[in-house]
Amino acid sequence: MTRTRLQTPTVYPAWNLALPRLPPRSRLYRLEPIGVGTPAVESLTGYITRLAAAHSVDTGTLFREELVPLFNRSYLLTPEGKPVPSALVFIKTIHALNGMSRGAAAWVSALETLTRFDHLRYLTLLAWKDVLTLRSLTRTKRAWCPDCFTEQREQRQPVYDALVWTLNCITVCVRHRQRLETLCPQCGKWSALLTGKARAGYCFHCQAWLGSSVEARGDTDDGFSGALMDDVRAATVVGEMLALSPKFPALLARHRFSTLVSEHIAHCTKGNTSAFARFIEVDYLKVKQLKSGMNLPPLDVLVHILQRLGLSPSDFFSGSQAMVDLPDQRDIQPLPKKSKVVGFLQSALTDANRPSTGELAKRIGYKQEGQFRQTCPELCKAITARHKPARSPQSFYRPRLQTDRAIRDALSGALEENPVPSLQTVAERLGYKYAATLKGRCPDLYRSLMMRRRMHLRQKAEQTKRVLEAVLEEDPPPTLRTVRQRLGYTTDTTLKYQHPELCQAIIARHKDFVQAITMKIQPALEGALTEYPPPSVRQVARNVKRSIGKLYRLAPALCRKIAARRLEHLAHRAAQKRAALRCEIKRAVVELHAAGIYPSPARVTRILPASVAYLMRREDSLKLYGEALHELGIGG
Amino acid sequence: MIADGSFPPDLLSQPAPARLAYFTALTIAHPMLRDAYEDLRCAIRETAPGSLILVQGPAGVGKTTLLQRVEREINEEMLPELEVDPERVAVVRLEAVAPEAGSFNWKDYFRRLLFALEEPMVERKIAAAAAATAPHNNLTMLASHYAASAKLRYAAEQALHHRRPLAVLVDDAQHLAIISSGRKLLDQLNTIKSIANMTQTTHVLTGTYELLALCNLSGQLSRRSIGIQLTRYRAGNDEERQAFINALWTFQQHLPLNATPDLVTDWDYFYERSIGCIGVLKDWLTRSLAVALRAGGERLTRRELERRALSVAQCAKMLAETIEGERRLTETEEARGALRRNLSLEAETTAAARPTTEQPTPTSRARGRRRVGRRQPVRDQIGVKSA
Repeated sequence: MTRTRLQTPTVYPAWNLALPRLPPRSRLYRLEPIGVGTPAVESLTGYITRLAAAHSVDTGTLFREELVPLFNRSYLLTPEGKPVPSALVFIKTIHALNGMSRGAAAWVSALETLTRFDHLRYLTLLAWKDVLTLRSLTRTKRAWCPDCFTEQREQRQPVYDALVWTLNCITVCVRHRQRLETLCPQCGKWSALLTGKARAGYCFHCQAWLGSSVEARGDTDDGFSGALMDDVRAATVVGEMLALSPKFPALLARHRFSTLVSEHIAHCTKGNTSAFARFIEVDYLKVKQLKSGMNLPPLDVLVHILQRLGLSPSDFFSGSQAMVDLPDQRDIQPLPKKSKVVGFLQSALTDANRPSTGELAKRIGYKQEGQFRQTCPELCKAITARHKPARSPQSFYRPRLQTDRAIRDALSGALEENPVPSLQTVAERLGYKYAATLKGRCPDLYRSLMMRRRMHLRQKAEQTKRVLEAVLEEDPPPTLRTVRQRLGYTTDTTLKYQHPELCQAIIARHKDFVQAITMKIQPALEGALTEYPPPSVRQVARNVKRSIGKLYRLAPALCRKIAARRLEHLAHRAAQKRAALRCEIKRAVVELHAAGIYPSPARVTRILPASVAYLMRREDSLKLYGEALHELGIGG
Repeated sequence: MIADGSFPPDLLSQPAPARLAYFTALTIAHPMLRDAYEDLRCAIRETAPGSLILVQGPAGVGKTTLLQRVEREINEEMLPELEVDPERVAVVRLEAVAPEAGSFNWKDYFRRLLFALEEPMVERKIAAAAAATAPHNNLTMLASHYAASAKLRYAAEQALHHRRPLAVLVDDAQHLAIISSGRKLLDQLNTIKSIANMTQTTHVLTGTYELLALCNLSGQLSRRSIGIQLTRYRAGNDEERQAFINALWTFQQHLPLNATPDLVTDWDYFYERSIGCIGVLKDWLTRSLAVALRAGGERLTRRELERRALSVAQCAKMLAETIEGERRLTETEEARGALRRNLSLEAETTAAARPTTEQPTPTSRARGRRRVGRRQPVRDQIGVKSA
């Protein structure tokens, strides 16, 4: 290589290959929750199934691997601290996930950590925590609308489970106006809200597609029943509620509902709670509780109130006035003034009828006397003190189911019976659920029946013991099953419980017996294979004193071999006999022919030795005869 | 600390392992590398998502370094977006591992891809039961011969779809060609191509010239792929020769020794034993440096360097492979002529004067013309447009 003139070399810069510090990535994919802010919002359980499907793992695997470590609950971990397989099964209240409980909040925060999202709480009802009560809020069994699934699939949108379907009071689909399904059309099972192999749009058990078939759709336009439409309306209201929560969370603060109720009472019925209760068709006591804030309304009650007031959820919670026609204000009795109340009560003290505070309340226009106690408690006490002695005695107890006499008769009758019935039976006959009532009502007869029953049972036990001991002597030893059937029991449990050692002995005895048979049979069969002449299976069976079926069951291949061998031997013998016959026939024919007698079959038969003569009766023997004649050239 | 121009002075006071580590971590941006990097970044930026980019070059020329640099730069660029979107991954880099026996192991490839994407629960992936699972993003389960890799493949596609990296950088992709029978060679690249297409993610495949065999297998593949070359420096070319010398000089300046050795005067020896590949040169220098540091760290003698050099036989073998690959990539006039003739742009010429090519083809023979209609037994030039 020729050396050219070297230029002054330049230095090249150095490159930095180290990676920069990256902000942490979300551990799971950030699937966008569907429908937040609309009535068709996705449920949290549905979201979890979609998340698992996106990662192409089972839902149970996602739960176990990713969520359990975040929860740190001891019952989900093995002693080493790893998650238990099928941990999802241990969460019995999985349906509460979509609700408002602390558990739901924990799940939401765990998922938000994993996906680095922050608005997953709108997939549950957590926003309504301070407005609704938890009672019968969420379903335990999964419900869905098949048409919704089919529609989503056709429009190539992700299939998902809606949050409205997890609510107990929703039974219809608003879009398609049909009832929600709870049972899988293929396997017929219902499922919980989330299982190990859950997938949105498919049955959690058999993985069948839950969408409707094409034919079933589209023919629900005729005859919407009234009840269905009511449910659809209620469901629409709930949908609006769900759409409301992400947008205006401040509207759903604590005690807001009770404040609003009070406002509405004041507006609609001039503060008269019972009139308001009548107006909105809700039980008075319930309204009282809601107004005071003592209880939160269940979802169906809230929906009912909204419907009766004619308000949409957003209107209601922003404080609008009722839109429907208010009841005639003149019909509503205004509440009496305080001063009047006091005067009224004082005058009642001198009333000759000695009324109770309840009656007084009704007279004055209240529904109950609670208001009295608030304003003037001492007066109330005085009134009640006056009233109580004048009251007719009330029985606070529920009337008795049976009279004492009936019970005594039943018990004494039972004592005479044979076999003695149990106390439980007698109680049930009388219509009671438990026998304890009888004990309280009629202790002596109760006790004697109990003793008689015990004695009877003891005798029965003795009897069975004797029977079992007898069975131990039986030969061949029966199975415990036969014994039990003989005695009339349907299961082994009682026998085993009462006489464990005897039962074990019976079982063991039978087992040994079977073993012995097997042990005897096997060598006998094998021996038969080498015997000469080869015996039939029946003979072997006779030798071991068992049935042929038993032999075949125990060693079918061997038996077949023996049988084949026998058949072969018999065929061989038959062939031999035929050959012998042929010889003899030939000999006889020759003899006769030599003697000048025509060898007719009868003559030949007479000459034949006895060992083969009887064979001549057979047709094929005549053939042999014919052949012999032919061979010897004798016509015939 | 890596400083431009030379090593930091205080490095000399540090212990030997630190000095060795410094030099080992050094990467210099020599012209070929820089150009290839620019080309690659342009290609990634400009091509439609879902394309294939093939980077070819001999062993030791710096392909892995190139990918590392691309990975770093893309991550730097996308930092603001990564802050905002925690789902997204900027770029994925993985190696196509050579199988111990038999065909290329796709299952392993997908698993590495999933780990590189930081996917959880990799061992628990199941096959999605029906294609109807995710019809909205067009990822369907392909009926695959190999069920075990099928579920990992589906999971990998899902992961790429959700994480949306800018590109997937596959190093040592020539291992894809390790299969039992030639019939399935096309399937290998088709797999990559279909994944790239399905997830709309650009794939960059890096490998030696064996990669060429894969991409010329079908016209469709050739159409969708872009080729970039990272070649060695050729001494016959003035510029390249100078570039090699510059690189050698830079290395020389960065050797953390008390006495800076003079390597440039004997540059042709260094060229001879590295065949112009900077990577080979650097490894050689690193080995020698290690020995020198163990001995005391004062100087690097010629003797040490000679002992650590590759043997002539090794260099000859490397060079032969490289030249073969380079030759096949070079576009020649004859190939172009053949292309034009096939396109009917030129008439068939009988006695085509064969112009001189850059590198003499060793297989052309001057024989007497055979019968009319019979082609002369020479190799047809095939080529791939370099970017």
